[in-house]
Amino acid sequence: MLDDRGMDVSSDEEHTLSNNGDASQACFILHKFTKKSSSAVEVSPREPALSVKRKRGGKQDISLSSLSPCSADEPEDCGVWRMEAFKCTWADIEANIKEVFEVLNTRIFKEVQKFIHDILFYDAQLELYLSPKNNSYPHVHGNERSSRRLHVALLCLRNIDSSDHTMTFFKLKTHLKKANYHVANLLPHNFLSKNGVGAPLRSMLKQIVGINPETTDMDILASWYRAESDAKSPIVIIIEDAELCNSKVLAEFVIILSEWIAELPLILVMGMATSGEAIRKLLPGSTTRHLHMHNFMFPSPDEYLEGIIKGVILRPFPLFTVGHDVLRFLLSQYDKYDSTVTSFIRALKMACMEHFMSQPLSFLCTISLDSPLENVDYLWRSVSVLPSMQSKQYQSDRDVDKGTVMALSQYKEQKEKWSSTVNCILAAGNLVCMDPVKVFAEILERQAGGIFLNDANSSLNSDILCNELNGKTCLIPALLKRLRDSSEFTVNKILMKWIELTEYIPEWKTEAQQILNNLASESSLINTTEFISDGCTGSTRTRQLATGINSIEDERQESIVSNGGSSEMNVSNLKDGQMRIHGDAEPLNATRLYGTPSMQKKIGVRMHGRLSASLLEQMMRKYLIPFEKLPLNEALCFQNVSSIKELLIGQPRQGIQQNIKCPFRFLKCECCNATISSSMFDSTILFHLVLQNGELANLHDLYESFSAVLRKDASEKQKKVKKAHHGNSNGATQHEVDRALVQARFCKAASELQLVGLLRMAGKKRSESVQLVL
Amino acid sequence: MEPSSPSRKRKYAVEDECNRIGAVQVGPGADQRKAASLIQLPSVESSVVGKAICLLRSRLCNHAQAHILPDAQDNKRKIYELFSETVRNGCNNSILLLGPRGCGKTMSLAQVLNKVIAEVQEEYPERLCFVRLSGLLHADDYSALREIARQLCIEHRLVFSKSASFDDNSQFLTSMLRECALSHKTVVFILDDFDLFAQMSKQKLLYNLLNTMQSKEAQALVIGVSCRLDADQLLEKRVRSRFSHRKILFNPPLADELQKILPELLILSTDSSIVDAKYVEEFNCVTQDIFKSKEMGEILHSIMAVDVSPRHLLNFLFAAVCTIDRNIGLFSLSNFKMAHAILRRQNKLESLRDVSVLELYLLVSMKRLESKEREIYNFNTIFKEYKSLHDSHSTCDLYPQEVCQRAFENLLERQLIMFADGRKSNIGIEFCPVKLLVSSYELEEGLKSSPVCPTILRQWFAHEEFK
Amino acid sequence: MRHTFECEGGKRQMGATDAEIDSPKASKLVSEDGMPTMTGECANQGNGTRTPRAVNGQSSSKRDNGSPGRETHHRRTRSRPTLPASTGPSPDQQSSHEEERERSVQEGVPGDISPDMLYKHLIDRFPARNSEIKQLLGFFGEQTDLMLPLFIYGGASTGKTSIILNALRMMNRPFAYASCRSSHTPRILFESILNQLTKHTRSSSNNFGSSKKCDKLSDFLGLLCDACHAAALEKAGAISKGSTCPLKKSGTEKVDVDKFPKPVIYLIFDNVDLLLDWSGGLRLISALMRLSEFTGMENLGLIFISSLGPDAFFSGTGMLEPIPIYMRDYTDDDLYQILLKKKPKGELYSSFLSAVLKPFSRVTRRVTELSEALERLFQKYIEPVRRGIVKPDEQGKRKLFSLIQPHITSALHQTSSFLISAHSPQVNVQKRPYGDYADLGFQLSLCSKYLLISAFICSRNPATLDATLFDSTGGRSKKRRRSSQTAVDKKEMDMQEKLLKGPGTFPLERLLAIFSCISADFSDDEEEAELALMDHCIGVKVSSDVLMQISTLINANLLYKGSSDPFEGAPRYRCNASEELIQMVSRSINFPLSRYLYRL
Repeated sequence: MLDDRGMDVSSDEEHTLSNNGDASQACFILHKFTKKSSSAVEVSPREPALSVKRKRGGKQDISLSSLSPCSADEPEDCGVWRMEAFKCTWADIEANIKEVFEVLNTRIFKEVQKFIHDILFYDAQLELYLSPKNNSYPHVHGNERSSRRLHVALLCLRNIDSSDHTMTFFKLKTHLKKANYHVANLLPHNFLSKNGVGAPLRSMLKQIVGINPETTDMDILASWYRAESDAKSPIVIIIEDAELCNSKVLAEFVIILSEWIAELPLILVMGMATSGEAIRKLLPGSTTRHLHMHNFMFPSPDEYLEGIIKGVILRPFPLFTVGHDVLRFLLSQYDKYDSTVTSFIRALKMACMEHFMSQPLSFLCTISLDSPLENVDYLWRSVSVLPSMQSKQYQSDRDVDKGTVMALSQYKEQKEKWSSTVNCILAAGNLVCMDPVKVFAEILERQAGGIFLNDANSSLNSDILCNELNGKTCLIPALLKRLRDSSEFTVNKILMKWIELTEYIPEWKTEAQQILNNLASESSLINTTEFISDGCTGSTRTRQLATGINSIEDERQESIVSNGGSSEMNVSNLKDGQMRIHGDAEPLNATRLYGTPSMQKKIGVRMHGRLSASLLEQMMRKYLIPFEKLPLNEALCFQNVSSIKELLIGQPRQGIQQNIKCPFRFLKCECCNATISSSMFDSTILFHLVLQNGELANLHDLYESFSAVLRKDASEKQKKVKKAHHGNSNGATQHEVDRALVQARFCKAASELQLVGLLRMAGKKRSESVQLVL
Repeated sequence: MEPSSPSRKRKYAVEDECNRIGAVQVGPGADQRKAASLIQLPSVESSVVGKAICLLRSRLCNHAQAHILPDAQDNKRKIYELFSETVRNGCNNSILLLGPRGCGKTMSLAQVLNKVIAEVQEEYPERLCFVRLSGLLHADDYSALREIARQLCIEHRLVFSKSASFDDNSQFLTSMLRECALSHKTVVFILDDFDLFAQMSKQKLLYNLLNTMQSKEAQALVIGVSCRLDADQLLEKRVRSRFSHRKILFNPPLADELQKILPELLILSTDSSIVDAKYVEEFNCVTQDIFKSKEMGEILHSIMAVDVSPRHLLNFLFAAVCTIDRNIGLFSLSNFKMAHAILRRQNKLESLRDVSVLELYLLVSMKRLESKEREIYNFNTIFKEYKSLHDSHSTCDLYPQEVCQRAFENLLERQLIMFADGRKSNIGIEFCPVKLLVSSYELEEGLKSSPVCPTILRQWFAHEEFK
Repeated sequence: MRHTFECEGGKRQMGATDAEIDSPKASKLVSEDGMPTMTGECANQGNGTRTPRAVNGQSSSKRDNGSPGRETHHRRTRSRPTLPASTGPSPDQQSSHEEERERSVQEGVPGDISPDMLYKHLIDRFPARNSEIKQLLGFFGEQTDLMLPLFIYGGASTGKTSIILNALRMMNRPFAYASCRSSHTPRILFESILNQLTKHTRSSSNNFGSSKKCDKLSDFLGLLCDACHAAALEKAGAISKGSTCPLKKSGTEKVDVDKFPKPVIYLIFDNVDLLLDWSGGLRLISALMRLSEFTGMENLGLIFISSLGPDAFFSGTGMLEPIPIYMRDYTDDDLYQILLKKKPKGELYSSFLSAVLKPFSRVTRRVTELSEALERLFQKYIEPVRRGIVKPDEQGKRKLFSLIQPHITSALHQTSSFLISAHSPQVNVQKRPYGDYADLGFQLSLCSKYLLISAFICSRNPATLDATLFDSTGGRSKKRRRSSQTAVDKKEMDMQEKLLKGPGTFPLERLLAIFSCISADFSDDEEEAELALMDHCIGVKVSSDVLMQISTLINANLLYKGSSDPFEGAPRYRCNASEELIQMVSRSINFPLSRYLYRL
């Protein structure tokens, strides 16, 4: 069930950092960080996503090039197709993810590099400024020396969970190496208190000088650098996750470095999980006196997530889509529990896996149907039984074929429209500064509620513009509102963005183009003083638009206030609104409507805001159709929330307890139900006994009752048969259980329970008794 | 030395003086001394002065301080007898030379050794070999045994292998002892800083040595030299039982002896390589006069009141010599005064004088806490008290917590305060309980002497004291 | 490159400066009187005035009957330190020759170093250190004057190390410098000293190893003897070269080296106070103190530099006390001089200092802290002048002062708070003002926020109060009000104590219990979380994710987990987060923290 956690456990036993024993005692859980530290010494060249892939995907790569058939009559090569489909789909997704990270990180890297460069320049100037003979000694000038401080760049990851950045520092190192700086990369486990300051120095020397020094003397570095006369490039020392380091060792290390800055161009880069201020807690004041800090902010996880949403989920190409409910679940998981993109990606991958494992037709995501396929009949059969295809009746395979192709193309088109619509919404939200992730989550929610559908039977409170959804205020109405009364400039920008975003929805493109033109001409025309003269030029039309929209808005407002705002009425309003707009009505009371140019300008702008808002709203209604409504969605869209849920949410303790309490669940066995018998596993017996004993149990009593159980059943011969087919026959089959064996089994069982975290010793004072952890 | 030189020298003296006036602010007595030097001593060649000072310094610096130490005749005699007894009827012996540092244990031992070696060598050659160990250097068994083996090798012209293991060395030692015993050769172990050997874990080395001495097959003499009078109390029972409780006590020289001895140290002997006899006698008589003078007596008295150990006095004289103005080349009382000032350090007071106002505030509030019977307090408590002080009277010295914490850390660095129970790395520094290392008296003095201390702070302090 | 042992010895690159020191002499000699034979002689006279006569035995008689011309020349080159081994200036000497000259021009430091010149030079380089420098020079004495161990101590950044090194360097004394901080084990300490004495160069050829391997003190003594003999021999050899005329310079140096008194070789141990933390460090120090006694070499000048006073070392231990020299902290006037010296552009800064220095020096008297705090303020101060609003004359200064006045206190309150200058990209600055991490600075998942808050509650409240605070039966609030009220009244005092003592520790179970309580609370506060409660458990069951979050918090130092041995069972936890942070968090998820905190 929790297999990838299981793997982590196994990979985790050997490396648990001293400061990272964590909750893994209280219950069997590991921290993501150790995943990084598990990859041995200096650097951990593993992409989180990749590591997941290696874990899950690797299994299949070696095992078989095809997936296990999900129905009995599925032919072999369907499995192969699904496998390939999965591979290419995920490869595509992963490439995009990588790109997103790449783009976001290199910005920071560039800044760091620039900063280092500037610092060097500054120092060079300083040395020019000082008298020439001082700069060759670190110790000559009390004042200058102490005024020269070690420059430290604090990279704030802005997420207490550093697992998104397992690769970041390695990338940074390579990036800086490209600028031929000398870079050393130190991990927190270099800074253990037991090894002292020697360890980080040693590994630094190893990485920079490239030798294995016998003493960790900075002098080695200095003389090496002197020999390295050609390029006076700086020496950059990167410390990942400074918070995890032992502060004492770290402080000593930093001070030693700062003793040498006068001679070596040393620059320190520290990765801080939380914020730069945390260094104040980490290092004593006597140390920070030697430092000059510079803050760098990594993009926050939300920004990464936004990037991934835009770059992966809203990309039309891979036909495979993740259902709204699943997405919602993933997002809420991200929001509630670890807010790391890594786990989001992993979950995404799981969803992908699940889909291709479970769905017989999932290979339709990538397959091209024009190529002739063998055993098509199976394909068509399974297609025709899909509920989403039930609607239309097919006589022959031919039109099943047609229908499938049609459905596919329709699905594709719909997805394109959907994604571009969402993109537009996000773009608009971005410009009126709203949190894209939240907006996206809400879109999903509404969509899942089928709210955007403009069919009559949608419930009353399900209008787009109602401000309450499931009791929490929602953003989209706010967004529309802001859009409505946003300035001309913003409207302009938004329209531009839309135009470039909507290549899949031509009509929207034209609409936006129109509004934009009007806006332009309007603004140009408003400036001209005489406007009454030309009654029926471009401006009149916009006036019509204005009136139309105004009226619509007003109607809608009151309709909502008198909550008669049922959607079809709105729709009708909208419809005739559009009609009135498009149709060229004669210029009625335009002059009355607009008194003075200034006022007219204002109204004009607001009007354009309204126009675009209504346009957006219309688009939402039109294109935000949940994929579940589409034909062939079973094959293309993964909607099974429960499976992904049980993959993601682990309750190890409950699970273990259940399994231990009733082993007969998974051993098909009728003998032992609830009653303790020696045919159970030792740990099961012990657990039961402890349960009976309650909170505190005396070890000796436990042992007595334990051996009693074993003896009792050992004395009865006739259970032997049943015992035999349980896994553990060693104690049960023989007649009298000798004490040593019983003791051994008891200890084994106890230690198992302790390892699992259900038992623990009650404490020093009551060392003879054990305590139950629930 | 031909006639033209004095005039030249005077010219130098003059310009040197000018240099010095520019830079140095010289002590009160300096001016007439300057005048004196110009008039009375036209012909002090600076090289001669340098020579003289060099002589004095080397005399004060070399380690066999034969001249300052009272020659402990009877002690020497005791040691000598011990040697002769050991050597003549080749038996095993062990002895401790105890006495405070620098009152001639090592020196008289060395003298006796020279004597003994001289006699023994002509009487029966090849009867003694020496092994010297120092507790500071060969603290651990391994290096001690290694050192012993090395010296024995040198003594017997064997090749010493650096890579020899502990066991090799110990086996080598026992076999060597046996050999020596067979050839009636006494091995003399001189253990300097004996107490450090005794503080070693399980005193393995001592035990081995003394244990082998119990048997007939070894002939050795162990001399322990220690400045701890209770050195033999440090021994474990098993070691002490094997140790012959022979102790020789060395007493520090008495004050009046020193009074007599000290001037001799600064007298230049006429037969030394200094050609300028006139200068020498001049120098000597000036020195004598100074030592006769009254305030010099006071200075000496206060010096000896602090610490009568010869090393201290040597430091004093050395400092005095170093402060001689080379352009004059003679002692003056101010030299000794300065030396006295240099040696008399109370660094608590000094650092109290140096702390900033804010740090003084913190110290005073800590003191107030202590006088309130708050035995355990940390930075938060102190800061609270500090704030309360400022609440009662408003001053310009109320700073936010961060600044105060920095000052607090500075105090920690100066070791005016320290953590009561080690620094716990995981908890913020403001929570660690601290304790004050300055006595109330010192703090009071510090407040008085501090140039920056505001009066209101003094009042607070006094107020707390008298309440 | 003799006489500066650290030159290739690696501690710092000496080559250039070393050359700076000799090249003037070489060049001067050549320039003054062209023929190379002269050099030997005038140098010998140079030595004659400083080193005892024995050094330059027979030639001394010849010295005195000098013609006036020779005499002036003699005075010019009087008491010059020893000559370069090769009179022909080597390339690097030439290269550094010009800059050498301009240095002597701009600083007025001629290559010749009489004690007084040296004294002057040091004083104007280190203001407000006259008496200490005078004492030090006295103690150093001349090249062959033996010395007792010195112990130099004083606060941070009072120029202990700098003064010593400068003095020794200008006097061309042979010395080896080792800082106990950079060389953090005895072995590195010993080896770096030996390297400097034997001028060993680490290079890729010797795999950047040191000259000798020595990690025991007893080995060190032996090696030190050899190294020092070599060094002294070289030094004395240099002297002898100076004195012996070129003809008999040939091979016989070793012979007459013994005749000469050996030059003193100075060993400088910096930061010896760190030795106290080493294992057996005290013993090591006392052994180092008696180094010359152990090695039997009298010409060792031992100098110990420490930031702690001698009491920390020598009180109680029966070890030999060295001669203490105290570098006092700077008084306000000294600070004024020093800071002024550091600023090239004069009187504006001086007026600025006279205005603001006093209040600042009340907070701290560290030059470093002051200089940067004042620097920040000074930028504000001269801003009007830069923009040309105020011109720097008298009333202009008054105006400036009135302008700066309001800023002083704020600057005061930032004194000695270390500076973090933000380099964050504009994108992050202007983008996304929304989101909780806008004020928090970093992102926390909902679950970990609850965990953090509950941990904080655990650390703040006494465990006895939990029952009254969170019993899950309804009407909690009223009951809590009453009970907590009484509780507050009852034990306000010791509660205050507890607060001052810092956050308390708690077992994991308590944390989880409170966590589930408050998250459940939250969920019936708002029904959205009720839904959350439905579909996946926040708070109801402790899922592995929650525990994962705990470990995450621990790694971020927001939570501290005490070590626990397997038999002791439950490890204790503590909340390290500051109250401000917690307040922010609870605001970000509008959690009523004050209801649960047991405030006074």
